[in-house]
Amino acid sequence: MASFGLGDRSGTQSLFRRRDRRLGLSFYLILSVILFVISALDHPVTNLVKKEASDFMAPVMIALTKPMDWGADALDWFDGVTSIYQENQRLKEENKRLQEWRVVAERLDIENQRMQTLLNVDAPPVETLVTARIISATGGAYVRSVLVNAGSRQKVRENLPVTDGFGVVGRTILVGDQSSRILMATDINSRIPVRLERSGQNAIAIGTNGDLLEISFLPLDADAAVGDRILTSGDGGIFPPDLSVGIIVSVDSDRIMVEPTANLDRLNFVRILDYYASEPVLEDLPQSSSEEEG
Amino acid sequence: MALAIRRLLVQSMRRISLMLFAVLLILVLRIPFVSGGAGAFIPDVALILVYYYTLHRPSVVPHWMIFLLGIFVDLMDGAPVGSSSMVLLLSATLLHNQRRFFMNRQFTVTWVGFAVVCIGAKALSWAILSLAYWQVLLPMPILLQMLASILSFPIFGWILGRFERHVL
Repeated sequence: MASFGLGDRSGTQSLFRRRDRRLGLSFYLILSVILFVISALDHPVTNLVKKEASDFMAPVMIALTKPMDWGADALDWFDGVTSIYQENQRLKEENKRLQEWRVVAERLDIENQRMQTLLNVDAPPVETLVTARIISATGGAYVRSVLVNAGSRQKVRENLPVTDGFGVVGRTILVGDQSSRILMATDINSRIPVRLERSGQNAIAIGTNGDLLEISFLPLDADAAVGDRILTSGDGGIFPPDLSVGIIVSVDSDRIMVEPTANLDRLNFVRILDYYASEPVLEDLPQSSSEEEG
Repeated sequence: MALAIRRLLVQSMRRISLMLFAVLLILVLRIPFVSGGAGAFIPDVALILVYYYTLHRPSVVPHWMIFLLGIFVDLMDGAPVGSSSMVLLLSATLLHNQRRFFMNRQFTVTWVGFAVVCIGAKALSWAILSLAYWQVLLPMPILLQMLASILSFPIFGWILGRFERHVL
C-alpha cells in the first residue's frame, strides 16, 4: 500500500515535471518568435542590443585573437630569417619595377588633376579613416558580416565604405564604441551601385550569400562580357566612385555574375574610408561651357 | 534543507560552467582564421552541444540555457535574433522525446542520430531565414555548414565528453 502511495506520488511529480518542462519550452519558444519578428522587422532596439553585445564581446575577441597574431608573427620572423637573401633580391627587383610605376603614376596624377580642373570637378579626396583588425568572423550560413576593432571612438560612422588592398569589402552597419559590424558585399542584404568600366552603364551589384555578386538593373541591351571590370558608380552617396568591385565571370541570358576583387575569404585587416558624398557640382558645368562659347 | 541548497548550488555551478564553456567554444570558432565566404564552413557548435548534453546530461541544459545560447549565437553572427533559439529549442525537445532510443548505444548510432537532427535543424533554419529575408535562399551555404557540423561531430563529441567527465 505504501509502495503504491509512493509510486503514485512520484508519478504525480513526474507529471508535474513534464508539464513544467512543456510550459518552459512554450514560454521560451514564444519569446524566441517575438524576438525574431522584432529583429526581422529591423526594429532599432535589436540593432542597439546587437551593438552593445558586439562592444561587450570585442575585448574578449581581441584577447582570443592575440595568440594567433603572436603565432603568425613568429612564423613570419622565422620565415624571414631563413629566406633573407632571396627576399632581399626579390625586394630589389620589386623596387626597380615600382620606380618605373611611380613615374607613370605621377604623370597620370598630373593628367587627372588637369582634367578635373578643366571639367570643374570638385571631387572630395577619399582618405582612410582607420585601418581595422577583423576580430570575429561570421559563423552563420546566411550572414556575411564581420566584426572589426574600431568604433565611434575611432570616429567610425554607419554606412562608411570598407576596402582591402584590392577592392570593396562592404560597408559599416552597426557601430559601437569600440567595435563595428561590416556588412560584406556578398551578403544578401548588400546593394552596391556600380558601373561597367568598359561600357559605362550603371547597375546594382547584389550579394547572393555565395562567393559571387549578381549584377542587376542593367539595360537589356547592355554591353557586358566576361572579364569586364565593375567599379562603384558613386550613386547613392555611400561608396565613392571608381573603387574596384569585381570582375564579370559569367554572362547568361538572365544573370551576370561578378567575382569580388577584394579577398573576402582571407581578410585580416580592412580600411574604413572617410567618405562624405558631396553635393552635386554639375550646375557649374553649363555656365563654364557657355562662357567658353561666348 | 542544507542538502537541497547544496544540490541546487552544485547544479547551478555545473550549468554556469557549461554555459561559459559553450560561449568559449562559439567564440574560438569565430576567431578569424577564415572569414566571409568561408564562414559557411564553421560547424554549428551550439547544435552539437545541445544534442550531446540533451542525450547524456539533460539536467545541465535547461530550456532557458538553450534559449540564451541561441540568442548569443545570433548576436555574434548579426543574424535575426531568435532564429537560432527556435531551432535549438525544437531540436532539444525532439531529442528529449527520443532519448531512450539513444541510451547506451554505440557512438556510430549517436553520430547518425546527430546527422538526422542536423539535417532537420538546418532545413528549419533555412526556412526561418528565408522567411526573415523574404526570399528563397540558396541552399548551398547551409548544406556546407551542415556537412561541417556532421563531419566535426566526433571531435566536438570527444571534447564535450572530456568536459563532462572532468567538470560536470
